[in-house]
Amino acid sequence: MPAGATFEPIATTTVASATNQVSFTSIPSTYTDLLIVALCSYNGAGSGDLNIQFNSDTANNYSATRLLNVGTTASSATQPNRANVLSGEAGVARTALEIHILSYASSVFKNVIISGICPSTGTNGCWTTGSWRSTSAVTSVQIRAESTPQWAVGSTFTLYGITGA
Amino acid sequence: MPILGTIASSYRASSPAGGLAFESIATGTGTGSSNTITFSSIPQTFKHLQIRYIARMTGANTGYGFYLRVNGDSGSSYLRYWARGRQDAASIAGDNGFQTQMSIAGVPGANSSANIMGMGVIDIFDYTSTAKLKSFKYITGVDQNQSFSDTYTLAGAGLWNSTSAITSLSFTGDDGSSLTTATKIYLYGIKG
Repeated sequence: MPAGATFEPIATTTVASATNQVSFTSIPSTYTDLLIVALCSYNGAGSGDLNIQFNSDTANNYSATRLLNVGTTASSATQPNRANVLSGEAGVARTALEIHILSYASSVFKNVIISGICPSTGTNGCWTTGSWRSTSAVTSVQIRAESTPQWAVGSTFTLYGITGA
Repeated sequence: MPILGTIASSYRASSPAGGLAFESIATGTGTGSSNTITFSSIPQTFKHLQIRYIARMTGANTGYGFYLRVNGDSGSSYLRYWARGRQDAASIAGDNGFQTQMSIAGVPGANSSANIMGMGVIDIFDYTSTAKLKSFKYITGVDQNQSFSDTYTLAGAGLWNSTSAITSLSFTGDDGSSLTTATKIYLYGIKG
């Protein structure tokens, strides 16, 4: 890592053929936080949730509270003991997301903050805070489309590393 | 199921010419014996500030308040509005008048399960301007793997009712407890 680089792009993935999952692997443990910025959409009609996993852990080691607004209606749900961190909906229209993974290499549980605009049948604003109950460092991130539509060609996901003093 | 994977270590970016747009300024670490972390003498060379944190208190509760003050101002100078998700209900609310500190979050305590930390990302805009009141945007939360009052997601906007440049920031947990040594608050500067 170049000296003094606080906010550094690590990798970018652009979907070349439709896929259910985008992942970043072999993430170095040299940063403080990770940030994934995504501009993505589904390749088919309808909408559905997207979710995050770490280190390919598919056990019920995740939980989150999701705050959504659809049009003028706000809703929230806390979802304990899940197999992933659930975020808001994506759809055929472009979804813009920020996925913050705080202190990803520390020895405490890993915190995730997701925010974004997730247009589907209406306009969804979504804010999620959640965690992966593991004290292991995050070395890979899986970003998954939960339902039948897949990530469309042209969807981009960029992983950044942020280094504190 | 097709999977697209990218090996993160295969990319490296070079430092941009002309310096860095997003720089680390300082890091505050909890001591286990104080409920406050303060950043003082904040350089005035950036356009905006960002704070990123994980935090926990030593006291025997499952939740504590977490507050922000600017430049040591303990007067009635702070206002905030927020949308919150908690216990499967969404709510919106605001302060009933100016407060003596900005409540930005709750953080877990010793009665929370081990390794659970409160989290947040806070943006402060135009912090050096002497022509503007200071605006804050924050997303904070605590996830305790259960739906109760100390698990929530909060999206908020705040105001410090002053046109003074921001030179210090203090983060304080409720009295009677201390920030744990696992608590980390990172201050970053963003150039415009």
